[in-house]
Amino acid sequence: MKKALVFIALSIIFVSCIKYPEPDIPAGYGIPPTYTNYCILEEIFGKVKEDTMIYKTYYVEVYFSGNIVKENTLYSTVDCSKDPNPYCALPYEQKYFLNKIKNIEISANKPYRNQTQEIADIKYFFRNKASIYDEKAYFEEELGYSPMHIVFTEPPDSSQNFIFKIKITDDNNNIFTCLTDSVYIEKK
Amino acid sequence: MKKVLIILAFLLMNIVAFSQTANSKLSLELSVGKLFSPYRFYKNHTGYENINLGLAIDMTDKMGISVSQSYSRAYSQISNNRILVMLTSINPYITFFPENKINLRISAGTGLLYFYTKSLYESCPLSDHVFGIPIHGNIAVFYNINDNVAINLNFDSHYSFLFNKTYKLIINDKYYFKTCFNSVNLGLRYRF
Repeated sequence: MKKALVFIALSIIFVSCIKYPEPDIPAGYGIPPTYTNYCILEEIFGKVKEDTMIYKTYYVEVYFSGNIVKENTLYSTVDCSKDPNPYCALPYEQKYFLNKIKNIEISANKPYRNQTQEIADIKYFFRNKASIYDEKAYFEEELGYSPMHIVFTEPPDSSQNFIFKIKITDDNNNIFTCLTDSVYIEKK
Repeated sequence: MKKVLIILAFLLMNIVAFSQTANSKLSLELSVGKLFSPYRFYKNHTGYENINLGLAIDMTDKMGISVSQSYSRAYSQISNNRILVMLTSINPYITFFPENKINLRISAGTGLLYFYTKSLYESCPLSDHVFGIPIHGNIAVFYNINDNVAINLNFDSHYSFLFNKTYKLIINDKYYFKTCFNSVNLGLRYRF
């Protein structure tokens, strides 16, 4: 009998230590919480903010899309129609891409600097789950949250229209490519 | 991990030693059935086959201890992820109506849970090892065909506390999460 009581007591203590997963960013009333699903990359998309820019303010946004490989099931199934809380907001999914980067190549459709199409002077900014961008070296880095920012640190030889090709190779030798829209870059 | 294995080995040796005493009876159980995954992180996984192998020692007419090892598989269409679930557990049990042709056995215990998860996307072969501590409960109904052989129907449940660092983003830096698996099995028991 004593053993059974000790067993029950230990079980209650063990269960009472349960901690529930929390959303990525604490949400307020009416503000949707965000949660993370792990994904692998299928496609990339390159976007530019404006069609005419000076090189100092120019950057390319690379958006990722892909398939879920590990799912946060706790937040993906919240249903506000069954929640009596009037401020209930549907959780917002953030995708974290697990592919590790082996190489990134960026080239222009015409000579960009020093008569070469390959662009070497680049900084890579990776987004975290709080939407803050940090500059990192890309090698062996996980792609992380979408989008990634690619910033050119040197101006073109002359002001003209460019289309950029972005090629990402991951550590499984999968190659993902995309083209940006045409953008006029002013050399100032 | 080594300590756990050493403890399990000692427990097995003790069980074998107990089984040599005149009063104890050793029985071997094998059952197959289906796994259900209704809860939390693996709730979108569809359970497939479950195979359970057990060794039970009656210490008295009504009480004893069993060691069980089970293997099962589950698959999620959403994440294209397959998991192999392996549970090793030690369970003290109580048998009701031992003198009847139909017996009921209730057991509860704990042990070690091990998952092998594998993503089936060919472009990115991800796999992972997950360990957990289960609270294991089992209800079994036995129909004794003769003194040695019985048909058993098992209802099995294990609620597990899992440990895995690779899920730290999903669970917001808390290095563990929990899940529950149930299974229903049908099989045979042979009493030596």
